[in-house]
Amino acid sequence: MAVALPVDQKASHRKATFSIALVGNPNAGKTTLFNRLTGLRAKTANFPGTTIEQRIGNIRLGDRWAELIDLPGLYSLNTGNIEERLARDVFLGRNGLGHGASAAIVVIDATNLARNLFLAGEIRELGVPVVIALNMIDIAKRDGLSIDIDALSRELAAPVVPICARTGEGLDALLNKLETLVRSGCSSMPVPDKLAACSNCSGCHRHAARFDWAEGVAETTTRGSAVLSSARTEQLDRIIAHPIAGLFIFAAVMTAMFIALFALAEHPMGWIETGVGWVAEQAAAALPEGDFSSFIVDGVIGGVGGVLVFLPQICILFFLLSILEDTGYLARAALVLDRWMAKVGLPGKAFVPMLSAHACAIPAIMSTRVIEDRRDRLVSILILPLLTCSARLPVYAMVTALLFAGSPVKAGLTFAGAYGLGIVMALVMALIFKKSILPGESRPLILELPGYKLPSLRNALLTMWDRGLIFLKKAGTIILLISIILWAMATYPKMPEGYVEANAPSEVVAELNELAQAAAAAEEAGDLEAAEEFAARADAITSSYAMGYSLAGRIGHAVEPIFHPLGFDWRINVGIMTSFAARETVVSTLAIVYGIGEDGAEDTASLRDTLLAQVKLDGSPMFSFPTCMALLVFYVLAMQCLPTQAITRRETGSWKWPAFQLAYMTLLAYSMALVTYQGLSWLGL
Amino acid sequence: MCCQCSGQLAPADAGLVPMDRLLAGSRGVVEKMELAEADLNRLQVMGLCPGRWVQIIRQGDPLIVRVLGSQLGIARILATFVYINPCESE
Repeated sequence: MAVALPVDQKASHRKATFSIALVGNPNAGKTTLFNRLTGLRAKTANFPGTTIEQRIGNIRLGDRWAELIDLPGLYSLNTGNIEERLARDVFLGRNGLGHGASAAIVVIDATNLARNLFLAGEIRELGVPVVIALNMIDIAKRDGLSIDIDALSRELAAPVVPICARTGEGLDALLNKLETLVRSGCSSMPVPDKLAACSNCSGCHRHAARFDWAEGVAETTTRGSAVLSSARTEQLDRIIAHPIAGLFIFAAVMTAMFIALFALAEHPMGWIETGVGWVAEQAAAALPEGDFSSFIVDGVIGGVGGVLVFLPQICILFFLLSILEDTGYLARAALVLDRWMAKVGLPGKAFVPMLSAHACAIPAIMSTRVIEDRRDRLVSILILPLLTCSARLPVYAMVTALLFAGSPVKAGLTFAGAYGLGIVMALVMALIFKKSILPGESRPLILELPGYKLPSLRNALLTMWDRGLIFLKKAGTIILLISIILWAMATYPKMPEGYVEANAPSEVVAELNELAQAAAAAEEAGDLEAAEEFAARADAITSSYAMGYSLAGRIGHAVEPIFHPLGFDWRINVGIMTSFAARETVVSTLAIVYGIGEDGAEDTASLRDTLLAQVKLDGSPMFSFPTCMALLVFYVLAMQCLPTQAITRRETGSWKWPAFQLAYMTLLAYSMALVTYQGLSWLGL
Repeated sequence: MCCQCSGQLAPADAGLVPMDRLLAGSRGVVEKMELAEADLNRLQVMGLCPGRWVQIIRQGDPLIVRVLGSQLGIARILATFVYINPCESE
């Protein structure tokens, strides 16, 4: 893979003085070509004022740099949908860059010439200088198609270069032609008469003349027929796109994908955790003990670690999805699922994001871009965080450990129930949103089923790189900021000297004194390890009071009346508050507020024992069955994930939607937890 | 790629069949499309357009058709309003 040096990259940005548009049908291999030409130099942003992504990268043409703009995949320029308008704007210089594209590369699929020539014809009619990249020439050759390049070039009155974007074959020739075009000053290209006649034919049916032209050109320039490859695609589709068998294949493919995802992400996540832990340790050792050390270790490093740990899953998921998309499988998945998804008012294409959300809502929300209809896409984005992502697993594990430590069957059923609740609520909410705030039938399916192809590893790696960067930039900065705020809330105001002695019950004070004496005795006896352990236990108890004294603790107390009907005490409230940025934090927060120290969270058994020993004022257990279940339901349904909110903002283009998402999910989580607690208590469980 | 039976088409609307009623494997020419503008545009730029040959690959919902060398999956609700002049048996 070509890796651009950073210096090179900077220089190229300065030098790019003109832009070239990359345009073509979806599935014509446009993205593969873009990745080939720009590599890691590409940047992803939204078209100004829209949530449609535009990728821009610099390419070198001889001694000059040009900016390559990857336009959305198009079938036409003239039906007036938003992507087409954006493409026209780029050609006409209304794209906010101050200048239009000086030239275009039109990618056409050699195995599907007639359909692809329709768009190529429309672009030729604009008069913009173009080079035609005749892609997938290798597949065409393999299938026995031979295309007369000169004849095609004559018909289009434009240079045609056969390429294979997947392997990189023919790219030098393409760039050479482009350079020649640029050197000649990018004057407009005359439109061939036959093509000009297409839009002037007033008597005939719209599109008909141009399709006739495209089919005519394809016929005269191609020898052989694509029957062979289409027969193979049809044969595979007999099973893969079968209404019943296709569902089983889909289930199998997705199961395999998830197994691969979790297996591949496990080790990198472990390395990141170990690495962040090591850095935190080094920082703690290097810095003098105190607020600053705590700020760096718990606030900054802890916050960065919380972001980084999700990176492997996000990257690997995008890698696998890119591979699946390249092969042509994702289109089939959307096809077989469309009928079922229509029952909740969503298109078949919403299903893959819904599955991805079971790993992490962030890549899921980013991948809703495949859904064309804006309302369908918004509904999908709104409901995706209801599905159980992997960050919820530590919470589920904690609750099941509290309730069913000795019974793997009950624990398993609880896990399954939590997943099921997420799925059911997501579908119910989708239906409600489609009937209320975002009304309208979902657009009936019209989907191209591209031929099956070998995937491009390069595409997958670049997609992974691109999406990973977006995650770090958009989510990383916000989660870091919020974790610092949360750290401050849990640290300040500081408890005054002697606070524990004055406020804690006498047995706690006695225990602290005993621990201090035991530590001193052990140190005297030379057993430093034991001394440290006693000191750590004393620290843990003090930290729990410090947390109670802090702003977070005070808010936890203040909101007790609100959460009391759910069976939560102020400590659980603190847990909910501090896990606002990332839900898995609740486990370590509970470990701190219940006085077993942060490290106690890793030891499930001791956390469980401590939590189970907690009693309410009346002596009944704090973590009763109804409370635990209410807590579980709350965490299944509550938003509690700021990176997701940041990504929702990016994908919807306004803070209105993440705010609504937070509001409806919190309300839903609260009411369902309320029903759970009150219902179970009433049943006497 | 194209069907070999041009010239044998019935001239009038009488012979038109909605696309979702054709048998899998049969071919015909698109004659009429009674659809809303947005759906019409989406279908037509992909090649399902009056005057074009279409072959049914699979019936059902969605159905799969081949047009201009590519395969399209189309919701049945749309196919009902696309009228085909079917080609005589092959």
